[in-house]
Parts: sequence; structure tokens; C-alpha cells
Amino acid sequence: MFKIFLMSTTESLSKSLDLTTTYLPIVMMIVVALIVAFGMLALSIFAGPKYPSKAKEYPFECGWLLDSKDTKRKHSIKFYMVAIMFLIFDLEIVFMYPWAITFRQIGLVSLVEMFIFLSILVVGYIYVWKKGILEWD
Amino acid sequence: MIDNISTIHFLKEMLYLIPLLILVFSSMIILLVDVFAESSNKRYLAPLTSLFLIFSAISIFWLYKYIPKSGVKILYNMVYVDHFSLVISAMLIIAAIITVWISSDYLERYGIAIGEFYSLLLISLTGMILMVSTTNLFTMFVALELFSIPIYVLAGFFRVYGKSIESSIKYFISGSVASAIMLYGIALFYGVFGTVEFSEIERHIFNHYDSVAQIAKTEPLLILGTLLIMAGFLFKTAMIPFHMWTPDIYEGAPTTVTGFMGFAVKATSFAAFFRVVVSIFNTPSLVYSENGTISPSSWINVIYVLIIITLIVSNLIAMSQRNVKRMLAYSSISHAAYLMIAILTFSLSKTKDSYGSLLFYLLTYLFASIGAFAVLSIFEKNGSNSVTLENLNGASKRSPFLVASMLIFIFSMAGVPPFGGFFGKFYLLKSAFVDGSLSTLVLIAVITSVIGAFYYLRVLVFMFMKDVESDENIETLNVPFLGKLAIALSAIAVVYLGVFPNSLIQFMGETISNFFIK
Amino acid sequence: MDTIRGWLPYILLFPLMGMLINGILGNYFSKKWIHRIAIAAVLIPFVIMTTLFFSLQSLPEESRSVIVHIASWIEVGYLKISFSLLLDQLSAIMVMIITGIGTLIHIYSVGYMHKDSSYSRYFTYLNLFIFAMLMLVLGSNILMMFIGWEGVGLASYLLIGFYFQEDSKASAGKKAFITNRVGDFAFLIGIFILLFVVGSLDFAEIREASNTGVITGVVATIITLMFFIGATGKSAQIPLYVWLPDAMAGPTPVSALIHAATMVTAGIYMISRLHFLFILSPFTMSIIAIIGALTAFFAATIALVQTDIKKVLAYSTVSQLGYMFLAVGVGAFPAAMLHLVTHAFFKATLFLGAGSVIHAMSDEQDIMNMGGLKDKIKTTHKTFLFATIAITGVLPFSGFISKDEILWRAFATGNGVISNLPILLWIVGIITAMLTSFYMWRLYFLVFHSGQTRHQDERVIAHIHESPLSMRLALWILAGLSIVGGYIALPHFIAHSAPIIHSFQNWLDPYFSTSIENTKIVHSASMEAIFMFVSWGLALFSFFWAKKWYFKEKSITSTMWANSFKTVYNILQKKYYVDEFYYWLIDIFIIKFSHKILWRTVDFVLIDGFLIRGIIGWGTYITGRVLSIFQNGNLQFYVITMVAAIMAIFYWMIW
Repeated sequence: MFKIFLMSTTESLSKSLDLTTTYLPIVMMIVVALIVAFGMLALSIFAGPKYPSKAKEYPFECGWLLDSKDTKRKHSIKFYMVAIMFLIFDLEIVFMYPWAITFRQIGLVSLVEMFIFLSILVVGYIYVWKKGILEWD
Repeated sequence: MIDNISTIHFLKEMLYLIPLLILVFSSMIILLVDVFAESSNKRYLAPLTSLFLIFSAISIFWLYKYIPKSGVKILYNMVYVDHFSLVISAMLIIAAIITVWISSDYLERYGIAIGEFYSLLLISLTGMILMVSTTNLFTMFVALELFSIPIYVLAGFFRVYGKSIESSIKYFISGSVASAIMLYGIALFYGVFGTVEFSEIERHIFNHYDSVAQIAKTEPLLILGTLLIMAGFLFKTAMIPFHMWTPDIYEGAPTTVTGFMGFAVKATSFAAFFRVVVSIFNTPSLVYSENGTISPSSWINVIYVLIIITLIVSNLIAMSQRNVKRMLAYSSISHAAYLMIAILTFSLSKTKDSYGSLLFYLLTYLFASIGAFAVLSIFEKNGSNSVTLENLNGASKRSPFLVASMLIFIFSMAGVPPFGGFFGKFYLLKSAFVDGSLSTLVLIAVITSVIGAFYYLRVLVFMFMKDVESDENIETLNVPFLGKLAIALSAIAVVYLGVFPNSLIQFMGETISNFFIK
Repeated sequence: MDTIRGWLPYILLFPLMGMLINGILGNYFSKKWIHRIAIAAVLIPFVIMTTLFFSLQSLPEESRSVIVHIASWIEVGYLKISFSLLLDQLSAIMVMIITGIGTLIHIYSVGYMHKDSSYSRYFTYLNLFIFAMLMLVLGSNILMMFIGWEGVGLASYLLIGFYFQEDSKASAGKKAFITNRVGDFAFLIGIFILLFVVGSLDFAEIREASNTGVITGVVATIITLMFFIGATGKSAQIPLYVWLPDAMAGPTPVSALIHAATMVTAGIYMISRLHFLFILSPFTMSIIAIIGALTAFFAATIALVQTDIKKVLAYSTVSQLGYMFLAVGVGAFPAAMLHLVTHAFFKATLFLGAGSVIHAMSDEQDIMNMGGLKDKIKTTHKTFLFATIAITGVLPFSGFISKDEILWRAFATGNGVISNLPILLWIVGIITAMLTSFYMWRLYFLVFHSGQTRHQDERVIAHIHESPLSMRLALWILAGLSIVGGYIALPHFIAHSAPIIHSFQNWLDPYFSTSIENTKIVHSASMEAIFMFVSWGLALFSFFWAKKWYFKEKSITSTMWANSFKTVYNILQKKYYVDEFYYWLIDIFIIKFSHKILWRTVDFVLIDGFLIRGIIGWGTYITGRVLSIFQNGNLQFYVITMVAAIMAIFYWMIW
């Protein structure tokens, strides 16, 4: 969606078309998207078979089972910590993919840069470790 | 873009980043020292941090001589180091040094003397310096986030106080919204131009558009982008109506942090906004209508109206505050309006007269504001994390040194002649007035600064003229050495700026005039 | 030229550094280091100045005026004030006096203050004073002079109230400061008018403006009158002299340095510096001469009956300053400067001698309790004697030369406003000279002769001792200067035959060149010799009179005279009730009027109650309150406001 929007605007730079013509694809896109989304929901409500069970009606979120009556149950803070740690290293890998692909082109400098980046992460890791976040108990 | 570049070239580019590199590595070193240190006594962390900061400052002075006047673009044009960015960086580092000195004892008093404070401060400072040394919207956004997030954490550093946490969360959420808004603006710019580089954006606007009305008709998204980027800055500089976070956060955050962010966030945002204005917003087709007059719907007029609202409203609300930190928050909002006047004057007049006023005002505000918060941090009653006017009763008997310094800071902020603040205001309003088109604004600024004098001087009334009810409360305050040094130096600086403003304002003017070297 | 440019700033820098070092770190130093630093901070500028003096002398006469630009200070529109120093013939003499006598008094203070616990504070203030005084004389524009002017006022206030634990001494400091403020206020108004008329405060440009007729007669009269009121404050002339006798509450070396030798002469210096402006207004000049003569006379009469050793000297100082103003008023600027120099020598000697006496007498200041100290403190006695001879104006000593010069010029200079004025001024001057001789010999005899020491406490008498070396050193040097100091300027009738000897006048003449044309001397120089013998004879007459009354035990005749002229004696004793009159004025106008009408009615009810609390206070307070309702602490509301504002602005920008 954003791509179309982009293309249309860049086109307008050179052609300077009328406003309505420029944004017509977007309006159409939005309309189609709405029709598809609501259409599918409506289809499943009206046409789909229904077999309700207790397990299906249970509230569900992000890995835990939430008891609807006991909303004040405490969760270990460690869970969040580990999750955030995971996120950081996850993103690190994401950053390393494009680096690995262009490594040959950039050469030695990129290796140094990546080491700097990793060492910063390692410092963070050491800090987290010493603070005792990895000890579960 | 990417091709083989030599290692030497890389190292040379790193040379320009030395101030930043020092800050980054020192923040990590302090984090590690803090974690690995055996003893619980960590008094050496503050001197260590300030040592690193001084190293960074020295490297800035060295760079200032080394780089050409037109500045240097490095790292694929992502970072732009020039005299302007170095001057602002130097101010920010001075602010950080003062904050570190004050905080060392303050944190100990609250029992949270831990290294993360300094580390976060340094990371935030890194972000700030990066933000002022770039002409790339995207780097600017990353830097904005880099300095904002540590500040959010620092605001909530008093984990035991509800107000501190509340301010942190409030700052985080509203700040994130503002960042998102700004990012949207950046995205729109990218969408329209396909680039985030200031100079290229300027060229595009210059080549393709003639007037504000034309842009509004053919490319309203550009107007929206301008507005959204501006809104992000207006939030960070706390212009009304984007100011609402300010009082709550200034009140709740640890006082030394308030002092730091009161100046540093403002200075960084103004410096970055100034760059955006100089490079992008000042393009004639974003300001003028077809017949050459300033278009009623240009961003200039928006800022103009916001300045008037901010001046009046912030000063009026500040009068009714009993909490000194909240009062200073509103006062900082009104100072933001003054700084905006400097930017407006710059965009409108282009006479060399107005060049120095923004930076000089920032410099006077640096010492007065951080100094005032530093004094408050010492007067603060243990455990309350806030200072009301009544807390200051009989202060002159408890510590003449602190009260005398506070007098200097307050007079400077109110704009009383022998102090720096007066000349800051004077040069700023003078250049605005000389231009002519802003004379109404100057008039309002002068009238509101009279209102300002009321609430500023009231602090002194409480300090000098009211006595404490019972005698047992009168205890002399022991001002720690580093804190004393920081406050004394700030006071001296404020007086110096008031007595010898000339050479500095010329220096600042030259710094800004470097923008126009092509 | 370049040596002067290079070294001149250091003259100011050293006292400043001394002040800062002792002021900040003084508590960590031993007394030895404190006074070493403080003395060095004055001695080094003196040495620099001495060498600069010779390099100034080596310059051709017309270029003996060097301006050293240090920094531009205020630049607002046409108002450009630079921070620059001016060394010329006039300021060179002043700097020599300030640093030279300053050094001696610093050395003297080492002995005098050695027991004091606030040693570093004392020397910090002294260095502050030296710094401010040097700024006053070296400034190249009136504003810098004014800063020095206020700076010496501050230092004087701090030093008068040095023993602030005692109420009377603290209030003496306040009195000095407040009285000076009255003068300073007029001075400031003068500066403003001058700035308005000339558009610059630089001495050179003011000189240019007054020579080219930019400043007209009436304006010049107003400005110079304002400046003169400023001078009466600082230099203790009628009507603002009342602070100086009280200023004796400070340590005695301070009285010698600030309240006799240097600061109080700032008014003379200022008028001499701006003489080109003053001579534009014959009216002001006449006023100055009259006030000077009257002050000289009245202060001398008060000094006749005072019994406090320092008070006598204080009134004597006021009287001598009156002479200087008399000289300035008749356009004899070099004569005034000469008297300034010689007075600095002998009055400093007298004060330091008095300090030595007080030191010996265990802080006793009443001369009625002294007597017979001649043999007990020999150095003090001898130096005091020399200085007394000098001040009474006996030929070989310095005081004679300068005083005679003034009296002769007062008589010889014609006055365009009041034709009989010169002869009147001369008569008042000559009577004052007689009185001076009397009260000084009275003081001398009562302290050093007149039988045995009259103090009640035997222990005090037993404890009488000569002062330490550092004090004696300063005394001897200054006494020597009071003897020979006058030879830099011999009288006209001698100087005519040997013009080289008249070097003081020759040195200053280039600076005062404009004034010499304007004040014509109407009598011949040969009359000077006659006048000289008249004043000499009168001084001698007073000497014998004083000797008759006070040389032995206090004679019956003196008491008899005091009894038979009881009213006069009382009036003199009470100093013409001027203090009482001022207190009454202050009581009526400031205390009662201000309290009842200005404070209780105007301020409390009208301004505070009605305007501030009523209209402004409540109005803005309520507005502020209403506006801060939006500040409800609700985060959602904040964000919504923000977004709504963006939408509103977008609407405005697009349509």
C-alpha cells in the first residue's frame, strides 16, 4: 500500500496530475481492502460451521493462559528480561544478514565495524550477566 | 554508493567522531566498572565520568581548529561535523559536567549512587551530539531516540517515588507519540522527494515549487510533512500546546536530571531545528506566496502565533505555581518561546546582527538554568523530591553561598542587567526589533518578561525575607565540594557573560555565519 | 610605547590575582604567605610602574598618552564602551602614589594586624582596594572610572566595617557607603547627560567635544555640578563630608591608605582628569573653590577641639582636601595634584604614626590619656614630628611648597563670576593654614610632650613599646618622603630662575594645556614671596601659641579659654551639629515620611494592596489557575491536545 502511494506521489512530481487522479489508486486500494477484510469476516460468521467448546472460548495472549477471574496474578519479571534480551540478539542477526551479503564489497572496514557493534552488544551482555538477570532463581 | 574504501579513509573519518567515540566507550567503561566494582562505595564514578567528559571537550576544542569552516561530511553523508555542531556539543558537555558534579552527592543522599546514572547520561549526551551534527533526517531521528530513551529512564531514576516513575512513563509515552509524529513527517518527506538529505530536499523544493499556495494545492503532503517534523521539534522544545508533559516531568524527575534535560534537550532540539530551518524550511517557496510576501499559511506564521500563545500562557501559569520546579518548568517554556523568536528573526531578516543571538541565549540559559536546578537539588527536602516556595523560607540563613548563587541565576533568567540573561534577551529582542516585522512580538515578549520578573523574584522573596517558623529548622546546609564548584563556576559564568558579552556574541555570530560558506 | 602597551595590563592584573588568591584560598595559607602574596601584588605593579614611568618620560611630550585596548565591553548601537587603559602624565603620578604608598602600608599592616584572626580577609580587601583604585585612575573612559569609583567605595565600606562585630563600626561602614551613594547618584546623572550630549564616554572624545564647542556652557554647568556633587561624596567635602571622621572605625593602616592618601583624592583626580569640561563653566569652578575653602576652614575649626587622635587627623584630611578643591576651583590643577601628592606622604605618615601610638597604647585613642611618649617610642615620635612640620607648612618640608602654591594661585587667579572672590579665598586659606598649624602642634604636644602619660591603667603605661620593624620601616620611608617630596615642585619665584627644578608642573602641563590658557594669572610672581612669609609667620605664631598651652602639663589658660567661649567650644566639639541635623533630616524625611506615607499608604495600600494583590495579582493568578486546569495530569488528554493542535494547524496551513 505504501509502495503504491509512493509511486503515485513521485509520479506527480513530474506530471503534476490532478489531485483526484493522483490519489484515486489509494482510495480504490482502501475500498478493496475494506471489502476483502469485512467480507471474509462476514463470510466466516454467516457461512462457517460453529462448534463452540470451552477451550476455544478461553482468553488467549502471547503464550500464557489467562484466567479471566484471577486478573491480579503476578508474573515473574524475569520473563520480560529474557524476552528483551532475545529481542536484542534477534535484531543483531537481522542486522548481520545484509552485512554478510555486502561484506566482500566493503572489505576490511566492515569487519572492524561489525566487531565494534558486537563488542558493544557484548558489553551489554556482560552487564546483564553480572546483574544476575540470567539466574532464574 | 558502496565501494571499496581504504582503511585510512575510514580512520580519518573516525577522527571527526572522536568526541562521540569517547562518550560511547566511556559510557560502556563506566557500566563495566560499576558492575565489577567490589565495594559499595562508588564515589569515584563522578570524577571518572567528568574526566571522560573533559577529554571529550578537549577533543572538541581540538576538532574546532582542525576542521574547515564549511564543515565535514562523513559516513556516507550521514554525519556532518561543523563549527556549529561543535559549539553546541561543547555547551552540552559543559551541562553534563555540571550535572555530574551536582548529582554525585545528590544520588548518594538518596541512596541510589549507582553507575547506570552516569552511563545513561553519557549515552544521552552521545545522542544529543549526534543529533546536532547531522544533515540527514534519518540520522536525526535515530539520534533523537538515542538521547530521548536514556532521559526517560533517568526521569524515573527514583524508583521508590511514585512521582518519578509517573513522570518517566508520561515522558516515555508522550515522547514516543511525538517521535512517531515526527517519523511520519520524515516518511512523508522521503515519500515526496525520495531522499532524507537536507541539501537534496532543499534543491527539490527550490526547483519544483514556487509558493506556499502552490504547494498546498499540488502537494499537500509536503505541507503535512513540514508540520509533522515541526511538531516533533515543538514537542521537544515544549512550545504550547505541545508543552503539557513539561511541568509534570520537571516536577517528578530527580532535580539534577531536570536541570540537565531542561537545558540539554532544549538546546539539542533548538540546534537541530535551527539546522532544519536553515536548510529546508527557509526555502523561499515554503515561506512566501506568489507576490513575494510571507504567506499567511506558511510555517513562519504558525510559529509566530505559537510564540505569542506560549509567551502569554506560560508566564501566566507560572505565576500561580507554588512548586519551584514546576515554576521553573513553565519558565523554561517561556524561554523556549524566546529562542523561537531568535529562529524566526533569523529566517526573516538575514542580517548578520541576529546570527549570534540564539547561541548566546542558549549559553546564558545553560548556566542559569542548570545552576538554579543545582541549587534546588541541595535545598530539596530529603525524600520529597520536590521543592515548594515554603521550603525555601529562611534559606539565606541556611546557606548564604547557595542563596547568593540562586540570586544570580534568578536575576539572569529574569533578565536583570549585570547578568548574562539580560544580554541574551537584549541581543535577541534587539535583532528581532530591528528587523521590523517582529516588533509586535518583541513588545509582547517585553511585557511578558515583566510578568516573568514577578514569579522569579518571588523565589528570592521567600529565600531572603521569610523566616522559618521554628528555630530548629535552621540548620546550615553543607554544600559538597563538587557541587559548590559547579554552582560557583556557573555563577561566575553568568556574571562573566553579563559583563563581557561582546566577544562571545561575535564568536557565536561567526559560528552561524559559517552556514553560508559554500 | 610597546613596553607600556605590554606591561600596563599587569599593573591591574597583579592586585586582582592577589585578591582572588587570598580571597579564595587565604584560609589555607599561613599568615606569612598571606602577606607575602598581598605585598607582592602591590609591589610588583609599583616596580612595573616605575619602569613605565621612565619609558613614558622618554617619549616626546605630546605623545605621552598611551591607550591600551584590552577588550570591547559594551557595544549597543552608538554606545561603544571599551575596556581600555589610559596611561598619561596624570594617571602615571596617581599609579605611582597608589602602588608606592600602598606597598608601604601593606608592609606596615603586617606588623599592625599580626594578631588579627581575619588576616587573609584584611589583605584581600586591601588588594581589592588597590585593584579598584588602579582601575579608577587607569580607565580610559568615565564608565571604567566609575566602576573603580564604586569599587573603592565597596572596599572602603568593607574595611571601615572590618570589625563588624561591633555595631558602631558596622554602622560607620554603612554611613560611609550611603553618604557616598548620594554623591554617586549625582555622578551617574552627570554621566548620563554627558553620554546624551557627547555620545561617548571616552576621555579623548569628551575633550574633543568640549574643545569644539559641542558642550555648551549651561550643559557643562549642569554636568560639572553633578560630577562635583559626586566628588564631594568621595572626597568628603561639604555637605557630604560627614562619613570620613566616622570612617576612622576601620584599622588605622586603612585610614592612612584609603581615607587619607588615595581614595579620598579620587574627586580631585576626577576633576583634574575632566578639567577641560570643568573650565567650560566658570560658575561650577567658583562653586568648587568656595566649597573647598569653606570645607578647609570648618573642618580645621572642628579639628581644634577633637580629642580622638584619629578624629583630629580625619578632620585635618577633610580640611586638606578642601585646599585641593580650592586649587582645582581656581584652575590650578597641577597645584592640586602636587598637594595631593605631598598630602599623601605626610598624612599617611601621620596616620601610620597615630597607628603606632595606638598600638603602643594598647588601643587607646584619646589624646587626653596620652602624653610624654617622646622617649618611649622614638621612631614614631621623630617621624610624626617631621610629618607635622610638613603639614603645617614650614619651608624645607613638602607641605609648605604645595600649600603655598595653592594659596598663591587662589589669590592670583582672577574670577569672572565674583570679582572679590580671590582675596576672600586667600584670607580663608591663610586662616585655615594658621588653624592647621595650631591643631597639629596641639596634637603633637599632647601626645608626645605635656608631662607624664595620663592613662589611668598602669598596665597600659608599662606596656608602652615601640612598634615592630615592618611598621617602623614604612614610617621612616614615608617621613623621608614628606620631607623631600615637595622638591619636585619648587615655588614659582625660585623656579623661574631654574626651570628644570619645577619639574612637576612641567610634567603635568601638557595635560592641562587647555586650562592654562583659560585661567589667567593676574598678579606678578614676586608677590608670591611676600605671601609665603605671611603664611609662614602665621604658622609660626600658631606653633608658639600651641606650645604655650600644651607643651608642659595642660595649661590653665587653655581650659579658661574653653570655659569663656563655652558656646563656641561646644559647637566645635559637636562638629557644628551637622550629624544631628542630618539625622533629624533623615528622621523626618526618610524614616517618618517614608514609613507613614510612602510605605504604609502608597506602597502598602495603593500599590501592594490595590494594584499588585488586587488587579495584577488576583487577575493574573486566576487566569493562571484557569489556564492550568488543562494541566490535569492526564496523559491521554495531553496526547489528544497535541494531536488536536496538529490537526488544527494543518487545517490552517492548508486552507
